[in-house]
Amino acid sequence: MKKGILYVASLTFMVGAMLCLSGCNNDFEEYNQDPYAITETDLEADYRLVGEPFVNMIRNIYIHRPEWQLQLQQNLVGDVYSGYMMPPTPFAGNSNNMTYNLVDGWNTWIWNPAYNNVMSSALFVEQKAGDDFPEFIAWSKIVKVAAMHRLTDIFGPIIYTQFGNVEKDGTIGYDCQDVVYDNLFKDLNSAIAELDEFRANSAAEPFAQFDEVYGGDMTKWVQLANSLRLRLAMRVSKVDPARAQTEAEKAMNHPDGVITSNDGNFTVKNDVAHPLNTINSAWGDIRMGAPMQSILMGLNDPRIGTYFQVSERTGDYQGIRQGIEIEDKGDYVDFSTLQNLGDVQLMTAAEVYFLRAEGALWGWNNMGGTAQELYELGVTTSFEQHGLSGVSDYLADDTSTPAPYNDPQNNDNNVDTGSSYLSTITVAWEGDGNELERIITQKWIAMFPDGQEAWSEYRRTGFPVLFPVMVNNSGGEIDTEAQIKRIKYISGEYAQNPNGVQTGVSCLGGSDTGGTALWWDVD
Amino acid sequence: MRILTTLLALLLFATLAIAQKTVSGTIMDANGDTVIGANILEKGTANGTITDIDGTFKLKVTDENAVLVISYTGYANQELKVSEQASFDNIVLQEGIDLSEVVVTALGISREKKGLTYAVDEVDASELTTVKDANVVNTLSGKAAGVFINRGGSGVGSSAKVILRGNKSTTNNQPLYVVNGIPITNSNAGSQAGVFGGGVDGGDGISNINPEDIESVSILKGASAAALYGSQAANGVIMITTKKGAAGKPKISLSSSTVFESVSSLPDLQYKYGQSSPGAEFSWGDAVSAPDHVTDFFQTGVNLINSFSISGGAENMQSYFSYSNNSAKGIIPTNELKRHNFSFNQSAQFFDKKLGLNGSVNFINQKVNNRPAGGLYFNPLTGLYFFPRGLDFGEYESNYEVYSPDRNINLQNWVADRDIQQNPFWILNRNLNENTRNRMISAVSAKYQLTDWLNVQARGNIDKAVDNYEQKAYASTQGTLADHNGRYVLRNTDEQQLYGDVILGMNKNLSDNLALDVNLGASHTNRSFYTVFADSKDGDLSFANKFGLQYLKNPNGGRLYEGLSRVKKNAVFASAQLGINNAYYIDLTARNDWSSALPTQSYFYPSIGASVVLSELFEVKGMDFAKLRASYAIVGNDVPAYATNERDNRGQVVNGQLELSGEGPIPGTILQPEESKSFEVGLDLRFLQSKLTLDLTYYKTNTINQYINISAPAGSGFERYLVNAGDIQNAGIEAALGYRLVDRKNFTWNGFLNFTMNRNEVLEVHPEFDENEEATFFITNEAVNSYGMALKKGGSFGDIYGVQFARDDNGKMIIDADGKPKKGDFGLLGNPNPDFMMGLSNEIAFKGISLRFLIDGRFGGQVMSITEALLDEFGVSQRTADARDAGSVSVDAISEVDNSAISSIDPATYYGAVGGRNGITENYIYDATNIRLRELSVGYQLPSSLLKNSGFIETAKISFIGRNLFFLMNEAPFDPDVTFSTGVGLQGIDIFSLPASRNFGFNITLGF
Repeated sequence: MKKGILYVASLTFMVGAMLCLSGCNNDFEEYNQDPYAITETDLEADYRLVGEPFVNMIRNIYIHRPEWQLQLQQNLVGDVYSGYMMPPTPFAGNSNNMTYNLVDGWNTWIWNPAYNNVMSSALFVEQKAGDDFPEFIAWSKIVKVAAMHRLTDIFGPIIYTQFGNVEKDGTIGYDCQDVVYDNLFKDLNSAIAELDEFRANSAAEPFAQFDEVYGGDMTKWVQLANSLRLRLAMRVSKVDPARAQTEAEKAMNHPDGVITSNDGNFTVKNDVAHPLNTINSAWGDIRMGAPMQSILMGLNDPRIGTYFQVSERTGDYQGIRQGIEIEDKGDYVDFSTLQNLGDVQLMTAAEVYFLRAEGALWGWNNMGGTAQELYELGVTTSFEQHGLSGVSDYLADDTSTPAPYNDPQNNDNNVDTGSSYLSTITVAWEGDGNELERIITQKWIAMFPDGQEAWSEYRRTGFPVLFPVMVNNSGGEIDTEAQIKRIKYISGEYAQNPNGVQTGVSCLGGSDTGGTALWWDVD
Repeated sequence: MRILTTLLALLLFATLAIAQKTVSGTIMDANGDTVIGANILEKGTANGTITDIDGTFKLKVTDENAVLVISYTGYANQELKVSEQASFDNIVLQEGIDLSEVVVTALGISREKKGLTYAVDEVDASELTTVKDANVVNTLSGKAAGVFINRGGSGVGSSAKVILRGNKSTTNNQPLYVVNGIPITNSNAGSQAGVFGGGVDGGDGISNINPEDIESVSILKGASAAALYGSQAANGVIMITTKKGAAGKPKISLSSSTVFESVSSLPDLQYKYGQSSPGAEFSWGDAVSAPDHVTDFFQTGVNLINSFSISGGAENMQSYFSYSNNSAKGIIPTNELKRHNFSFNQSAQFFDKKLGLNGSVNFINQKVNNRPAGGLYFNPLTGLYFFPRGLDFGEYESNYEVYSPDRNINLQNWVADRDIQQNPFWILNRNLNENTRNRMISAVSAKYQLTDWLNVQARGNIDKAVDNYEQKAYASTQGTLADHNGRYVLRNTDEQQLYGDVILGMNKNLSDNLALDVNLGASHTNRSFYTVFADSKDGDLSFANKFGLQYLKNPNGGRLYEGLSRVKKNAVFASAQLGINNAYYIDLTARNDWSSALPTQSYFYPSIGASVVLSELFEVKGMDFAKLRASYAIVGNDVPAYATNERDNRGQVVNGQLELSGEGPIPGTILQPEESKSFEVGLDLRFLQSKLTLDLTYYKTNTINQYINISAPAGSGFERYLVNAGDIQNAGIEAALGYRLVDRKNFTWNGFLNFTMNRNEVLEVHPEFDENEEATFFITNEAVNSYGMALKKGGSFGDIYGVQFARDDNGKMIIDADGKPKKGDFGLLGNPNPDFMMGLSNEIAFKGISLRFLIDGRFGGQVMSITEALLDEFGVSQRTADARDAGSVSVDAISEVDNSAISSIDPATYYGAVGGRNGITENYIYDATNIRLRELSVGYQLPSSLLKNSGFIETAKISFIGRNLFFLMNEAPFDPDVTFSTGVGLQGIDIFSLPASRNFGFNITLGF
């Protein structure tokens, strides 16, 4: 009897234990989390969950840290192709981006950070903000546009609308560049509309503690959005003039308008020193570009002193020509260094005036002045930005033209008087048919050091006149005279997203090389 | 009160009512010598005793018709029927295989060895205690087939890397340790992150166990044997059974072991050529007469282990208590270890011995000072070896710090300012580290015998280890390693495991020739690992040389972390064994796990095995026993805690900013448990009354669905995908040959030879790597050093990658325009795993004298030495001196410039290009073959006649012991047995590990 009871009791216990197991597993989800890790609930206060990602996002439009990533993201790409700068260093035996042998391992750092730092943070914000904080989603769209138009202007078709949408076979779809641009405009539309509505109903500044650009001032973000719209409109002005005019006028018609003074400049204000300072000073890996020397010196432009230091070798400003033969870093390292830079600058009031000047030149409505007025405002605003005087004398100069270039290390690189690479453009506004070159040349000077935008505008307009490379290691993929048109897709995409990258290539309008012109880059 | 009295009276009556009979006898062996310690057990009960010093026993039995089972290691069991007589004088034990020998298998379930369908290796306690090591698991080396043990490189008591039947997983390859059926924790403490080292080895879990407490060790190498433990046992199980008290008069044992450790070989260094130029770090200068400053730097280490144990008890209550004290100093000055082990075990039987209770408590306190770690950082050996020849080392020894009028403190005085070297005495005295551990393992179990064929048992344990690690680096420690005011690192961890299970056991003979053994159970495991970590590096300290959390100047610049990693696991399991005619056995197990690390799914794994005892079916002359066995098992392994969490939940604050980790499973997939599928087949043979035994096993294990982390395409929204992938195959042969050459009364000679051959092949990694020649999955990333460990399809686990010489089509080295050998690809250079291993042990006893030795050989495989590469670069290796003596290094090369043949290169140019941590490491690959005298002991057991006079000492033994005394063969310039890291990566590489050492000393064991 006793045995029987025990027998039954123990069996009951066993069965109970087993039954418990299905029920006892209920808290597994909770148990599978580190209680010390940050949770979403912890981050609700002060909007940190949806706000914190902006710090990282904004600091990675143009990578702040580590410096070597910025070097690969932009400094050895647009900063060089724009004629702004050139490294004295013969990286990889001097066969690299500068001499048109595109280094896949470098260019990965153009592609990946745009997604890993900007797009994924924006997606996170979108998911977490949901219906509760649409203003944060609006803000993320402006930042996204600010970052991703740079990427599409480097590669062409990119992943934009399909980001985070991984298909069953692992594919992530590309958008053709016209679709990308269409969506950039759409994102600006909805962002501006949302921020207008928010401001109409509330005086709160929820962005303040995360906003390293405008300290939470939404109006300024709307002005930036309008200014970006103007920039994008101008970019498509050749391939789709009607859309360009519509978008540009839309930007100008918005009650808050565009950036009109230097206090509205899109600069990132934080305590992280400009990454170019390290690349320039500590590493000695970047120097003045030859066209900067030629144009700024030729035009007697006082901005040269705020951008560069005189060369230790020549005692004067001395740049390096793009894509030359370099045997040893020591041959060019004592050419002109950059001046120490302050905040990272991504768009200025001066640029916006030049955009409006070009709009006026095309006869678009409501640009707020004549082409000449806006052109001169652009130059004046740039002088103001750098605290320089003498702008009226500068604007009146109708004789100075870009100067010949002399390379004290190797005369083969010289660009002598009379060369087709030496423009005869002057500063003073004249109805001489060279208005576009004049506007773009001055815009190019004003936008320094943002070589990415300068390179894009060079490809669109062919201005300012730049010097082609001396060494072309592209194996025929890139035409020396036409210069580089884009960066090739990275091998990581071919390996991990082959179907996606193929759709990108198929709407590229050519093969995946550095010589294929982008959608908006038409003659 | 009345009730109580009545109850007592009833109890008394009941006790008296039980028929009791006292049986006595004496037991002797075949030679006529009395046998001490033979087991006498009343069959079907827990009632038993052992024979005393005169070989006699007395046992009260409850049943008139009781049957006594007499057992003694190495002899067949005998049954004596009490009904026939009450006194059994001079029972002679029968030699031969004990066919009913019982072994402890998974979950502590005892099984007849005869019926097992898989291999179980048993190692006797004496194998572990004769030649002791501060980490008991090291003493298993060479004693069982299929067991691969690498000692850790952090000196005395360091962690070990134990691999059973080959490396299987990219996350963890170490086995599960089980004490008395219950798992204990064995956190992988000795793993290093990279070539620079700096990892902390607090000693692994198993190193805390006092070898004197161990009764026996069973090694369950295959998945079939371990399947009942589920996922934790995917890499096999090492099962430890500890000593318990036995009824009878108290037994006291004292043992004292003193072992000295001395350097047996140093790198081959030169003292002939001086510093390159004044102030230089290298020694590529003119000939000088420099003394050997290296040899005397090392000291003779001492390891003292004193143990005491007492055991005994009454019929229904037995106790065992032990205390052990381990005090050691290493071969590097200031390295010390102190350990105290307390162990208490109590067993009790109630209700006619139907209920058995057992409780145990182990307490371990350990403190280690200045545990040396290999690697390039914080290692006194780098500076010691690099020291520019011709300078006065004594000057830097006595003045390792000098007063700085600028700072008003003493600052480091050294010849160089480079991260990989500092003044060795500065490191010993001003880069201090201390590690303390307090650990408690408590276990209780209760077993109730419901009927003679049915029992239920419940068990539980708590294993809790609290570790405290502190590192204090004083101001002026090299700038990469510390800030202006020094560096403080604090790491407090609290590891805990709770385990509980209930098992219903059925053991029934269904008929005369049909035996069924079934176990059903459920278990719960809860493991947690809590960490508080602080490191002032990059944030500095507020005051020079003031160490404490409150002195972190800028905590955000440094690192502060508090975290808890935890996994909860529930399981149900069942096993059944059917024996037919004592000849055919079928074994089935099944287990289902629910793990919190995989919250949305459970996983099931079965095993099946069968064996045929051929010797029951037919007789072969001279063959006592033959068994053929085969088994197949699947074991799952869950993923690390929190791995399945979506990226969104994994934000963390780093330096005051929220960072998204960007890691997660591929959208639309869920992580699966890792899975090991293993098959084994074996043959066990016994010949000539077991004078010759042979066990053979072939196995094949495929580990699939490995948990790895790969780069994600940028557009996915992730930086890394967590995926299941890969197929790693281990196939091998194990053979164990045992023999008794001489077996006489006063002279015995036993031997054991084991052979292991494992072939590892990576069949698949992940399509991302398998379909792309350029992509390689690195377990240890090469970073800035010319070393990496990679997993590549078609390769094998542990493959060493490094920089090769650039060669032309004819294999000639290419010399660049500067006259330097040109660097080639970063490619495969070798694999550290041996082609095969052999261990040969012999034990010869003549009268009271016994001699025992173990020769252990590992054949094949390659290892790399970053040490030698750096010694060459610095111009301090003898090789560079020889080259300078010869005037040049001979090469068979061509010039890159004009294709002309080059046959010699200037030594400084050659070693400048080839040497160093980022040079051409192909030059530093060595054959890993080594054969050594692993253990040697000579013991003398004092004759009992002599001891009888003392009146109280019953046994006394003194032995002289040696470990790793010398190599019979070793091609590498270091001891390939010592592993730089006990983690998964960094295998087969020497980076300034401690030099090879030998141990020798003596043991005294007394029994009272």
